[in-house]
Amino acid sequence: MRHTVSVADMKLTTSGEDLLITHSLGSCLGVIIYDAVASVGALLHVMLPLSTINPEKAVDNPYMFVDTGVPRLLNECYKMGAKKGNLVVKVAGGAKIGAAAQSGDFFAIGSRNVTVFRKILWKNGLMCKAADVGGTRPRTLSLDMNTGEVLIRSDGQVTAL
Amino acid sequence: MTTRYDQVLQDVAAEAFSTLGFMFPMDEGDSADAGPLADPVVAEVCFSGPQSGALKVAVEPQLPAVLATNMTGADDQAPAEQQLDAFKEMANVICGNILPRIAGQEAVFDVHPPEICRQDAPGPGGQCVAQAGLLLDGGRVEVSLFLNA
Amino acid sequence: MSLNVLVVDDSAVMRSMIIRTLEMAGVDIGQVFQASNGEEALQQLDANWIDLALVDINMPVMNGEQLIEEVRRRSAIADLPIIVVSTEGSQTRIERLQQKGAKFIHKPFTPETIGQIVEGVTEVANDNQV
Repeated sequence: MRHTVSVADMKLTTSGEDLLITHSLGSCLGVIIYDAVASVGALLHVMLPLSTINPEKAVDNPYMFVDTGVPRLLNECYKMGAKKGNLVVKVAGGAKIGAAAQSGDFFAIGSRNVTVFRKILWKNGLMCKAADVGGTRPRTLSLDMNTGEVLIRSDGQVTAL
Repeated sequence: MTTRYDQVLQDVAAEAFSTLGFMFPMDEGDSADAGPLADPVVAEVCFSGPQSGALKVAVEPQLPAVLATNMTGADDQAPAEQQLDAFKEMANVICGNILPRIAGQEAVFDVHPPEICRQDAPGPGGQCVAQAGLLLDGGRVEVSLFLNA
Repeated sequence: MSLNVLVVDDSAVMRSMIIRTLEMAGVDIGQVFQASNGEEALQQLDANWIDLALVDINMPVMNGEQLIEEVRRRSAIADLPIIVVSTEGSQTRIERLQQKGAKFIHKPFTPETIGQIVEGVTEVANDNQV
Protein backbone atom coordinates (compact mmCIF):
# COMPACT_ATOMS: atom_id res chain seq x y z
CA MET A 1 0.00 0.00 0.00
CA ARG A 2 1.12 3.52 -0.75
CA HIS A 3 1.30 5.95 2.18
CA THR A 4 1.85 9.63 1.55
CA VAL A 5 3.64 11.53 4.30
CA SER A 6 2.55 15.16 4.55
CA VAL A 7 4.54 18.13 5.85
CA ALA A 8 5.50 17.88 9.54
CA ASP A 9 4.49 14.24 9.69
CA MET A 10 6.00 10.76 9.95
CA LYS A 11 4.81 7.36 8.79
CA LEU A 12 6.22 4.06 9.99
CA THR A 13 5.53 0.62 8.63
CA THR A 14 6.56 -2.98 9.17
CA SER A 15 4.84 -4.27 6.04
CA GLY A 16 7.01 -5.36 3.15
CA GLU A 17 4.19 -4.40 0.79
CA ASP A 18 4.23 -0.69 1.62
CA LEU A 19 5.64 2.30 -0.18
CA LEU A 20 6.27 5.47 1.83
CA ILE A 21 6.41 8.67 -0.18
CA THR A 22 6.60 12.41 0.46
CA HIS A 23 6.28 15.23 -2.07
CA SER A 24 7.50 18.80 -2.40
CA LEU A 25 10.56 18.68 -0.17
CA GLY A 26 11.97 22.19 -0.46
CA SER A 27 13.97 23.48 2.47
CA CYS A 28 12.30 20.72 4.51
CA LEU A 29 14.13 17.47 5.13
CA GLY A 30 12.90 14.02 4.24
CA VAL A 31 14.51 11.46 6.53
CA ILE A 32 14.35 7.74 5.86
CA ILE A 33 15.09 5.03 8.40
CA TYR A 34 15.19 1.43 7.23
CA ASP A 35 16.00 -1.78 9.07
CA ALA A 36 15.82 -4.70 6.66
CA VAL A 37 16.32 -7.30 9.40
CA ALA A 38 13.39 -6.12 11.52
CA SER A 39 11.44 -4.98 8.44
CA VAL A 40 10.92 -1.52 9.88
CA GLY A 41 10.81 1.52 7.63
CA ALA A 42 9.87 5.12 8.32
CA LEU A 43 9.76 8.42 6.52
CA LEU A 44 9.78 11.80 8.27
CA HIS A 45 9.02 15.12 6.53
CA VAL A 46 10.33 17.79 8.88
CA MET A 47 10.15 21.56 8.39
CA LEU A 48 12.30 23.65 10.72
CA PRO A 49 15.61 23.21 12.56
CA LEU A 50 14.96 24.06 16.20
CA SER A 51 11.93 23.65 18.44
CA THR A 52 13.19 26.46 20.68
CA ILE A 53 11.29 28.95 18.49
CA ASN A 54 7.99 27.38 19.53
CA PRO A 55 8.26 24.71 22.26
CA GLU A 56 4.48 24.39 22.61
CA LYS A 57 4.09 23.51 18.98
CA ALA A 58 6.89 20.96 19.37
CA VAL A 59 4.96 19.24 22.17
CA ASP A 60 1.87 19.27 19.99
CA ASN A 61 3.71 17.96 16.92
CA PRO A 62 7.39 16.98 17.35
CA TYR A 63 7.60 16.18 13.62
CA MET A 64 7.60 19.87 12.80
CA PHE A 65 11.19 20.40 14.02
CA VAL A 66 14.39 18.53 13.26
CA ASP A 67 15.61 18.56 16.88
CA THR A 68 12.42 16.94 18.17
CA GLY A 69 11.30 15.03 15.07
CA VAL A 70 14.43 12.99 14.39
CA PRO A 71 14.86 11.68 17.98
CA ARG A 72 11.14 10.77 18.03
CA LEU A 73 11.49 9.04 14.66
CA LEU A 74 14.41 6.97 15.96
CA ASN A 75 12.55 6.03 19.14
CA GLU A 76 9.46 4.94 17.23
CA CYS A 77 11.63 2.72 15.01
CA TYR A 78 13.37 1.19 18.04
CA LYS A 79 9.97 0.55 19.62
CA MET A 80 8.98 -1.47 16.56
CA GLY A 81 12.06 -3.65 16.90
CA ALA A 82 14.61 -1.81 14.75
CA LYS A 83 18.20 -2.18 15.97
CA LYS A 84 20.73 0.63 15.89
CA GLY A 85 23.38 -1.54 14.26
CA ASN A 86 21.06 -2.41 11.34
CA LEU A 87 19.63 1.05 10.71
CA VAL A 88 20.15 2.66 7.35
CA VAL A 89 19.64 6.43 7.49
CA LYS A 90 19.17 8.51 4.35
CA VAL A 91 18.22 12.15 3.92
CA ALA A 92 17.07 14.44 1.13
CA GLY A 93 15.94 18.06 0.85
CA GLY A 94 17.35 21.11 2.61
CA ALA A 95 17.22 23.10 -0.62
CA LYS A 96 17.33 26.86 -0.98
CA ILE A 97 13.86 27.77 -2.12
CA GLY A 98 12.38 31.14 -3.08
CA ALA A 99 14.06 34.20 -1.55
CA ALA A 100 16.64 32.06 0.23
CA ALA A 101 18.00 30.98 -3.15
CA GLN A 102 19.13 34.55 -3.71
CA SER A 103 20.79 35.06 -0.35
CA GLY A 104 23.89 33.55 1.23
CA ASP A 105 24.11 29.81 1.60
CA PHE A 106 24.40 29.67 5.34
CA PHE A 107 21.35 31.77 6.14
CA ALA A 108 18.89 29.44 4.46
CA ILE A 109 16.56 27.26 6.53
CA GLY A 110 17.56 24.28 4.38
CA SER A 111 21.21 24.29 5.39
CA ARG A 112 20.28 24.85 9.05
CA ASN A 113 18.01 21.82 8.87
CA VAL A 114 20.92 19.79 7.53
CA THR A 115 23.30 20.99 10.28
CA VAL A 116 20.86 20.16 13.08
CA PHE A 117 20.12 16.79 11.45
CA ARG A 118 23.85 15.96 11.31
CA LYS A 119 24.24 17.05 14.94
CA ILE A 120 21.47 14.73 16.12
CA LEU A 121 22.86 11.77 14.20
CA TRP A 122 26.33 12.46 15.66
CA LYS A 123 24.90 12.64 19.18
CA ASN A 124 23.10 9.35 18.61
CA GLY A 125 26.15 7.66 17.13
CA LEU A 126 24.58 7.12 13.70
CA MET A 127 26.02 7.62 10.23
CA CYS A 128 24.03 8.93 7.31
CA LYS A 129 24.33 6.33 4.57
CA ALA A 130 23.34 8.64 1.74
CA ALA A 131 22.31 12.28 1.37
CA ASP A 132 20.97 14.42 -1.44
CA VAL A 133 20.71 17.86 0.13
CA GLY A 134 21.06 21.50 -0.88
CA GLY A 135 20.63 22.90 -4.36
CA THR A 136 17.52 24.76 -5.42
CA ARG A 137 15.24 22.01 -6.71
CA PRO A 138 12.29 20.53 -4.84
CA ARG A 139 12.35 16.75 -4.41
CA THR A 140 9.99 13.80 -3.98
CA LEU A 141 11.35 11.02 -1.78
CA SER A 142 10.16 7.44 -1.45
CA LEU A 143 11.03 4.19 0.34
CA ASP A 144 9.98 0.87 -1.13
CA MET A 145 9.68 -1.57 1.80
CA ASN A 146 9.81 -4.57 -0.52
CA THR A 147 13.32 -3.78 -1.76
CA GLY A 148 14.55 -1.09 0.63
CA GLU A 149 15.07 1.08 -2.43
CA VAL A 150 15.05 4.84 -1.84
CA LEU A 151 14.23 7.01 -4.84
CA ILE A 152 14.36 10.73 -5.44
CA ARG A 153 12.31 12.39 -8.12
CA SER A 154 13.36 15.88 -9.05
CA ASP A 155 12.92 17.87 -12.26
CA GLY A 156 11.38 14.81 -13.89
CA GLN A 157 14.46 12.69 -13.17
CA VAL A 158 14.50 9.65 -10.90
CA THR A 159 17.66 8.68 -9.05
CA ALA A 160 18.38 6.02 -6.44
CA LEU A 161 19.73 7.27 -3.12
CA MET B 1 45.38 48.79 -2.30
CA THR B 2 45.61 45.60 -0.23
CA THR B 3 43.24 42.79 -1.18
CA ARG B 4 40.60 42.12 1.45
CA TYR B 5 39.51 38.58 2.24
CA ASP B 6 36.49 39.31 4.46
CA GLN B 7 33.98 37.20 2.52
CA VAL B 8 36.36 34.24 2.14
CA LEU B 9 37.06 34.30 5.87
CA GLN B 10 33.33 34.51 6.61
CA ASP B 11 32.62 31.49 4.40
CA VAL B 12 35.51 29.42 5.76
CA ALA B 13 34.58 30.15 9.39
CA ALA B 14 30.87 29.40 8.83
CA GLU B 15 31.73 26.15 7.07
CA ALA B 16 34.08 25.04 9.87
CA PHE B 17 31.62 25.86 12.66
CA SER B 18 28.84 24.11 10.77
CA THR B 19 30.66 20.94 9.66
CA LEU B 20 32.83 20.31 12.71
CA GLY B 21 30.93 22.17 15.42
CA PHE B 22 27.33 21.51 14.32
CA MET B 23 26.54 25.21 14.74
CA PHE B 24 24.76 27.40 12.24
CA PRO B 25 24.38 31.13 11.63
CA MET B 26 21.21 32.65 13.05
CA ASP B 27 19.10 35.23 11.25
CA GLU B 28 20.82 37.56 8.93
CA GLY B 29 21.30 40.25 11.60
CA ASP B 30 24.68 41.82 11.09
CA SER B 31 26.60 40.85 14.20
CA ALA B 32 29.23 43.48 13.34
CA ASP B 33 26.68 46.08 14.44
CA ALA B 34 26.26 44.49 17.84
CA GLY B 35 29.32 46.16 19.37
CA PRO B 36 32.40 44.54 20.86
CA LEU B 37 32.12 41.09 22.44
CA ALA B 38 31.73 41.13 26.21
CA ASP B 39 34.34 39.00 28.06
CA PRO B 40 35.47 37.16 24.95
CA VAL B 41 37.57 34.00 24.94
CA VAL B 42 40.36 34.49 22.41
CA ALA B 43 42.49 31.98 20.53
CA GLU B 44 45.39 32.82 18.25
CA VAL B 45 47.01 30.62 15.62
CA CYS B 46 50.34 31.76 14.18
CA PHE B 47 51.63 30.50 10.86
CA SER B 48 54.78 30.80 8.81
CA GLY B 49 55.64 29.98 5.21
CA PRO B 50 55.38 32.04 2.03
CA GLN B 51 53.59 34.54 4.24
CA SER B 52 53.61 34.73 8.00
CA GLY B 53 50.97 36.05 10.32
CA ALA B 54 48.21 34.99 12.69
CA LEU B 55 44.54 34.17 12.84
CA LYS B 56 42.64 35.46 15.84
CA VAL B 57 39.28 34.02 16.88
CA ALA B 58 37.27 35.72 19.62
CA VAL B 59 34.01 34.23 20.90
CA GLU B 60 31.45 34.89 23.59
CA PRO B 61 32.38 33.13 26.85
CA GLN B 62 29.62 30.49 26.67
CA LEU B 63 30.51 29.34 23.15
CA PRO B 64 33.46 26.99 23.90
CA ALA B 65 31.23 24.89 26.18
CA VAL B 66 28.56 24.50 23.48
CA LEU B 67 31.22 23.73 20.90
CA ALA B 68 32.90 21.05 23.03
CA THR B 69 29.59 19.38 23.86
CA ASN B 70 28.64 19.36 20.17
CA MET B 71 32.01 18.04 19.01
CA THR B 72 32.23 15.24 21.56
CA GLY B 73 28.55 14.35 21.13
CA ALA B 74 28.29 14.17 24.92
CA ASP B 75 25.09 14.55 26.92
CA ASP B 76 26.69 16.54 29.71
CA GLN B 77 28.62 19.77 29.50
CA ALA B 78 32.24 19.15 28.62
CA PRO B 79 34.88 19.90 31.29
CA ALA B 80 36.68 23.27 31.08
CA GLU B 81 39.84 21.77 29.62
CA GLN B 82 37.90 20.16 26.75
CA GLN B 83 36.07 23.42 26.09
CA LEU B 84 39.29 25.28 25.40
CA ASP B 85 40.72 22.33 23.48
CA ALA B 86 37.66 22.26 21.20
CA PHE B 87 37.84 26.01 20.68
CA LYS B 88 41.57 25.89 19.86
CA GLU B 89 40.97 23.07 17.38
CA MET B 90 38.25 25.13 15.68
CA ALA B 91 40.69 28.06 15.37
CA ASN B 92 43.25 25.66 13.91
CA VAL B 93 40.76 24.35 11.34
CA ILE B 94 39.72 27.85 10.27
CA CYS B 95 43.37 28.87 9.92
CA GLY B 96 44.32 25.76 7.94
CA ASN B 97 41.42 26.34 5.58
CA ILE B 98 41.84 30.07 4.99
CA LEU B 99 45.55 29.90 4.05
CA PRO B 100 45.23 28.08 0.71
CA ARG B 101 42.33 30.41 -0.16
CA ILE B 102 44.62 33.44 0.07
CA ALA B 103 48.01 31.99 -0.90
CA GLY B 104 47.05 29.27 -3.40
CA GLN B 105 47.08 25.49 -3.23
CA GLU B 106 50.81 25.14 -3.88
CA ALA B 107 51.95 27.15 -0.85
CA VAL B 108 53.14 25.10 2.14
CA PHE B 109 52.58 26.65 5.56
CA ASP B 110 53.59 25.64 9.03
CA VAL B 111 50.60 26.21 11.26
CA HIS B 112 51.67 26.54 14.88
CA PRO B 113 49.68 25.13 17.81
CA PRO B 114 46.78 27.43 18.76
CA GLU B 115 47.09 29.39 22.00
CA ILE B 116 44.44 30.86 24.26
CA CYS B 117 45.25 34.55 24.83
CA ARG B 118 44.34 36.94 27.57
CA GLN B 119 41.57 39.31 26.61
CA ASP B 120 43.80 42.30 27.10
CA ALA B 121 46.82 40.78 25.36
CA PRO B 122 48.12 42.91 22.51
CA GLY B 123 46.80 41.64 19.18
CA PRO B 124 49.08 39.92 16.72
CA GLY B 125 51.34 42.19 14.71
CA GLY B 126 50.99 42.78 11.00
CA GLN B 127 48.16 44.09 8.93
CA CYS B 128 44.59 42.92 9.35
CA VAL B 129 43.57 41.70 5.87
CA ALA B 130 40.26 40.08 6.78
CA GLN B 131 37.60 40.31 9.42
CA ALA B 132 34.38 38.38 9.77
CA GLY B 133 31.58 38.23 12.30
CA LEU B 134 29.20 35.32 12.77
CA LEU B 135 26.12 35.11 14.94
CA LEU B 136 25.80 31.39 15.60
CA ASP B 137 23.21 29.45 17.58
CA GLY B 138 25.92 29.05 20.24
CA GLY B 139 26.94 32.72 20.40
CA ARG B 140 28.87 35.41 18.55
CA VAL B 141 32.21 34.87 16.84
CA GLU B 142 34.74 37.36 15.47
CA VAL B 143 37.58 36.19 13.28
CA SER B 144 40.49 38.31 12.05
CA LEU B 145 43.42 37.44 9.84
CA PHE B 146 46.74 39.29 10.15
CA LEU B 147 49.61 39.13 7.65
CA ASN B 148 53.12 40.33 8.40
CA ALA B 149 54.69 42.65 5.87
CA MET C 1 39.71 -9.58 13.03
CA SER C 2 39.79 -6.46 15.19
CA LEU C 3 42.27 -3.70 14.48
CA ASN C 4 44.45 -1.83 16.93
CA VAL C 5 44.30 1.85 16.10
CA LEU C 6 46.61 4.75 16.96
CA VAL C 7 45.14 8.27 16.84
CA VAL C 8 47.69 11.10 16.77
CA ASP C 9 46.45 14.68 17.22
CA ASP C 10 47.38 17.44 19.64
CA SER C 11 43.69 18.08 20.33
CA ALA C 12 42.12 15.56 22.74
CA VAL C 13 38.64 16.54 21.51
CA MET C 14 39.66 15.82 17.92
CA ARG C 15 41.08 12.44 18.98
CA SER C 16 37.80 11.57 20.66
CA MET C 17 35.85 12.65 17.53
CA ILE C 18 37.97 10.40 15.35
CA ILE C 19 37.57 7.45 17.72
CA ARG C 20 33.81 7.98 17.90
CA THR C 21 33.65 8.06 14.11
CA LEU C 22 35.56 4.79 13.82
CA GLU C 23 33.10 3.16 16.21
CA MET C 24 30.11 4.59 14.32
CA ALA C 25 31.52 3.36 11.01
CA GLY C 26 31.37 -0.17 12.36
CA VAL C 27 35.13 -0.64 12.23
CA ASP C 28 36.03 -3.66 14.37
CA ILE C 29 38.39 -1.94 16.77
CA GLY C 30 40.59 -3.78 19.23
CA GLN C 31 42.69 -1.44 21.32
CA VAL C 32 42.82 2.31 20.79
CA PHE C 33 46.09 4.13 21.47
CA GLN C 34 46.47 7.89 21.54
CA ALA C 35 49.35 10.32 21.13
CA SER C 36 49.45 14.10 21.06
CA ASN C 37 52.51 14.45 18.83
CA GLY C 38 54.79 12.46 16.54
CA GLU C 39 57.30 11.58 19.23
CA GLU C 40 54.65 10.10 21.52
CA ALA C 41 53.27 8.23 18.53
CA LEU C 42 56.65 6.58 17.87
CA GLN C 43 56.80 5.48 21.52
CA GLN C 44 53.34 3.92 21.16
CA LEU C 45 54.38 2.21 17.93
CA ASP C 46 57.48 0.80 19.63
CA ALA C 47 55.52 -0.54 22.57
CA ASN C 48 52.36 -1.87 20.89
CA TRP C 49 51.10 -3.77 17.87
CA ILE C 50 49.20 -1.22 15.81
CA ASP C 51 47.31 -1.94 12.56
CA LEU C 52 46.26 1.55 11.52
CA ALA C 53 47.28 5.11 12.40
CA LEU C 54 45.27 8.32 11.93
CA VAL C 55 47.65 11.25 12.04
CA ASP C 56 47.34 15.05 12.17
CA ILE C 57 50.00 17.18 10.44
CA ASN C 58 50.44 20.33 12.51
CA MET C 59 51.54 19.21 15.95
CA PRO C 60 54.18 20.40 18.40
CA VAL C 61 57.45 18.50 19.09
CA MET C 62 57.26 16.28 15.98
CA ASN C 63 54.75 16.97 13.23
CA GLY C 64 52.82 14.38 11.25
CA GLU C 65 54.97 14.59 8.16
CA GLN C 66 58.13 13.92 10.17
CA LEU C 67 56.33 11.05 11.91
CA ILE C 68 55.37 9.43 8.61
CA GLU C 69 58.94 9.73 7.31
CA GLU C 70 60.24 8.11 10.49
CA VAL C 71 57.67 5.28 10.30
CA ARG C 72 58.58 4.52 6.67
CA ARG C 73 62.29 4.39 7.64
CA ARG C 74 61.78 1.75 10.33
CA SER C 75 61.55 -1.68 8.77
CA ALA C 76 59.36 -3.17 11.53
CA ILE C 77 56.55 -0.64 10.97
CA ALA C 78 57.31 0.69 7.48
CA ASP C 79 54.11 -0.81 6.00
CA LEU C 80 51.76 0.69 8.60
CA PRO C 81 48.58 1.98 6.92
CA ILE C 82 48.35 5.70 7.67
CA ILE C 83 45.48 8.13 7.20
CA VAL C 84 46.31 11.81 7.55
CA VAL C 85 43.45 13.82 9.10
CA SER C 86 44.41 17.46 8.78
CA THR C 87 43.39 20.97 7.82
CA GLU C 88 46.24 20.90 5.32
CA GLY C 89 45.19 22.65 2.14
CA SER C 90 48.46 22.68 0.25
CA GLN C 91 48.24 20.37 -2.75
CA THR C 92 52.05 20.21 -2.77
CA ARG C 93 52.16 18.78 0.74
CA ILE C 94 49.16 16.48 0.24
CA GLU C 95 50.83 14.93 -2.81
CA ARG C 96 54.06 14.54 -0.85
CA LEU C 97 52.15 12.63 1.85
CA GLN C 98 50.30 10.49 -0.68
CA GLN C 99 53.64 9.52 -2.23
CA LYS C 100 54.57 8.19 1.20
CA GLY C 101 51.52 5.95 1.05
CA ALA C 102 49.20 7.95 3.26
CA LYS C 103 45.51 8.55 2.57
CA PHE C 104 44.24 12.05 3.22
CA ILE C 105 41.12 13.36 4.99
CA HIS C 106 40.54 17.08 5.09
CA LYS C 107 39.35 18.84 8.28
CA PRO C 108 36.57 19.85 8.76
CA PHE C 109 35.34 16.34 7.94
CA THR C 110 31.96 14.71 8.25
CA PRO C 111 31.87 11.33 10.04
CA GLU C 112 30.69 9.81 6.77
CA THR C 113 33.88 10.85 4.95
CA ILE C 114 36.09 9.30 7.62
CA GLY C 115 33.89 6.21 7.60
CA GLN C 116 34.29 5.66 3.86
CA ILE C 117 38.06 6.17 3.77
CA VAL C 118 38.68 4.06 6.86
CA GLU C 119 36.55 1.26 5.42
CA GLY C 120 38.76 1.18 2.32
CA VAL C 121 41.97 1.23 4.32
CA THR C 122 40.88 -1.31 6.91
CA GLU C 123 40.08 -3.84 4.20
CA VAL C 124 43.72 -3.58 3.19
CA ALA C 125 44.87 -3.67 6.83
CA ASN C 126 42.78 -6.77 7.42
CA ASP C 127 44.30 -8.45 4.38
CA ASN C 128 47.76 -7.70 5.74
CA GLN C 129 46.93 -9.44 8.99
CA VAL C 130 46.09 -12.76 7.38
